[in-house]
Amino acid sequence: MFLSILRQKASIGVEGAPGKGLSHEPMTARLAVNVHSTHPAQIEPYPDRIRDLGLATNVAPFVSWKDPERFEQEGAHPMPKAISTFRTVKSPDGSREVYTHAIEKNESRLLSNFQALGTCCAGLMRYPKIQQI
Amino acid sequence: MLGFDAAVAALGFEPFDPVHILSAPTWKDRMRASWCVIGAAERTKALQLDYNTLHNYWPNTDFCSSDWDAEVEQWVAQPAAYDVSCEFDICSVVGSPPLPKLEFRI
Repeated sequence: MFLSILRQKASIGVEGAPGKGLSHEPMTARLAVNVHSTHPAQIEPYPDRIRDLGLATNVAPFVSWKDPERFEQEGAHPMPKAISTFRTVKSPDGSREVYTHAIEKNESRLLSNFQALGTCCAGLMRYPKIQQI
Repeated sequence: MLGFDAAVAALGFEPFDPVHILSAPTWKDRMRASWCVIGAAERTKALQLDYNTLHNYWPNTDFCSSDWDAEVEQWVAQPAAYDVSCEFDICSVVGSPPLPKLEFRI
């Protein structure tokens, strides 16, 4: 399967994220979301979120950033300074709700899955110069 | 577990959804692919949020325009929607495995 292949490729080990030096750690990023969480206010602190944006530290190593300027031209932005975490809360009926947490305002808000996917993609943008395997 | 697809999977998406999103060649196509996979209820929710107070993680708010749905449906119906060079050079690493066709979910 495609993603399995990706994981195998990723396990080879490549240059890590900025500030982390070489990384040969297995791709076992902690999830940024916890589907078993019971309260949206239980949000991990900002540094954890950065690390858990393993989105970046785990995906980016084999994502080639061909033309970062092009992204800027298209209006893409880096993760905002006031980064928000998001968390999935599973309801008793099995449905899931996503909350964002505005760090600077210390508040949680219901978030759409569309914006949650946006945070995932935006997380990829943090390490534009990391080369693929 | 890979961060990106794990995070996306944790949101309840199907296994190939993150692949569709990651292999989208541009930001706009990434928005379109995401718009397809979230389904109608989440599309409605996305439009109801106040982006004056909530950070919009997408590059723009094109998805709020009245003709966005039609644009995305037209885009996804194109047989070679992804047949351009990708900014995320994933396919060149692992080849181009067959993917289920991206659909505009109800």
